[in-house]
Amino acid sequence: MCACAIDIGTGFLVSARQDSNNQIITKSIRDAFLSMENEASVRNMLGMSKINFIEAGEDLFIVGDSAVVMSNIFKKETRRPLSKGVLSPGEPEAEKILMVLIENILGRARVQGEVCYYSVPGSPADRSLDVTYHQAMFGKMLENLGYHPVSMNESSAIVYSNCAAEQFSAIAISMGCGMANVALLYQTMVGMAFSVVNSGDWLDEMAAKATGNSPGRVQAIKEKYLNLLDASDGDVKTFREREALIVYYKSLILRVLDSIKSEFEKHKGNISLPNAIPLILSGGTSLPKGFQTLFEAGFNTVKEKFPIAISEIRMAKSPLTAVAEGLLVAALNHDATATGALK
Amino acid sequence: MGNSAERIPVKDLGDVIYYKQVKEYTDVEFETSKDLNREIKVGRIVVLEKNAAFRGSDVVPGHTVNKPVDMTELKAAIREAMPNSSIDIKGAIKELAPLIADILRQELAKMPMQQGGYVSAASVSSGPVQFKDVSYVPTVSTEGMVSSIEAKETETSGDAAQNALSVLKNMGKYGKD
Repeated sequence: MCACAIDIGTGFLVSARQDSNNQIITKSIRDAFLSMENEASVRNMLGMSKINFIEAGEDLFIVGDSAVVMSNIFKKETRRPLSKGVLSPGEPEAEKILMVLIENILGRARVQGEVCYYSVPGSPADRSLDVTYHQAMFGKMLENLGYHPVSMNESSAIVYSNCAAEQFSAIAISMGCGMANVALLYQTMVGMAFSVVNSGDWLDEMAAKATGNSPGRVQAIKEKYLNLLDASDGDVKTFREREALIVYYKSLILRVLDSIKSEFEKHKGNISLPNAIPLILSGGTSLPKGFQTLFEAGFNTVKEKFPIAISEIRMAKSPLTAVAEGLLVAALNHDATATGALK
Repeated sequence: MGNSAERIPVKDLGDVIYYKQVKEYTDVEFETSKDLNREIKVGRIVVLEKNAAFRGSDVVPGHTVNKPVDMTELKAAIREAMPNSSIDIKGAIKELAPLIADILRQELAKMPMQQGGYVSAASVSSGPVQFKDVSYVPTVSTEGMVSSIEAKETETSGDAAQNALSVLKNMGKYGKD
């Protein structure tokens, strides 16, 4: 069986592949870079420190987590090849850097035409943004690596990796960096799929503005020290940042729930759900302590008027790799007829 | 060249520029289009080259091709040529305008390029036109790029994936897109 998957997110690139022992191997790298001058001394220093980097002529790009660490040290903002879920229009190097990163974590196709499922965001419900160019460019990049690329909505993929017990019926919310993606599936059929622009990065920017900090520093606080149920849990020096983040998290959760309500109203003529379905939370922005409880509290405020019967709200088993793992299930299923994949 | 993921309408030229799409404009278009110049100013369109040898943008004896067409003069010329005609001049010009523009472009393309003239057109002088058909997608080249990257790797049981495939099979959705 030969198939693989890649989740192309604003925050992380995550690949998934099944090895010969039936184990799932996931590889991930943070989708960020920092540019420096390409000098021998810098290259040597980076090589000795095992910092990930790309050389491109006179430029040198520190990539991945190292870019975030270095940017905090030098008080610079990292650059991002993706912005708000799609290729960043203001980053001329974005596509080249992404191509190198994708080749690194996914490798070239093991056989020409190997099936590779890749994630695409839903069209934003609250912003005019087209994902066609984004989808076409990543399809072309994967083709250049020898794959047969197949795109799939990223939230739908979460249902494939987390809802086999419910026969792939659920609402999945992928709380990413650039967008919150939502999909409603009933027995693998997509009832609706859309995104809400502004998610994790928006939280960082808003909390940074409110507290007079840089978004990069707020992001580091969010990822390391945030307890969404108790702002006082942690270092007193970063209390205000945590407090601001909690305020914006609540706002984001209510905005996502409100979008689900209004999008469902638009589609309700086409969707008829016989049973209550689970709501799955996933993505890097859902990782801080207490997220599920805060989400449930937000849901309880709109529960009476919520148009979809929800059986439970739960976290994805692995929020950072749920999309890639779901894409892999879909890819293996796609490839199954040709290879007899099921053991 | 388009420098924004969103398509950029250049309304007064009846044109649209997509991301990374390269287009050529004549002196007249470049100098008179407010939309084009506004988008250049805000950076959504970037000028790759103002080519002094751009065809049709130089002064050709007998013609000043970078001067906008004076409609009054044109109408007068038509009336002079067809003094007894009862046709609606305005309508005729409207109908003929695209045809005339095409003929002009073809004629200008035949003219030899001249060196040293004053020119201000934005153009790309080298390379073939990239947008060949509707299925065209730009290729990303990483030639000359060298990487030293070690991604984070984790290994998990494949049981959940196998279980999901079994459920899909029981649902009759095995091996389907």
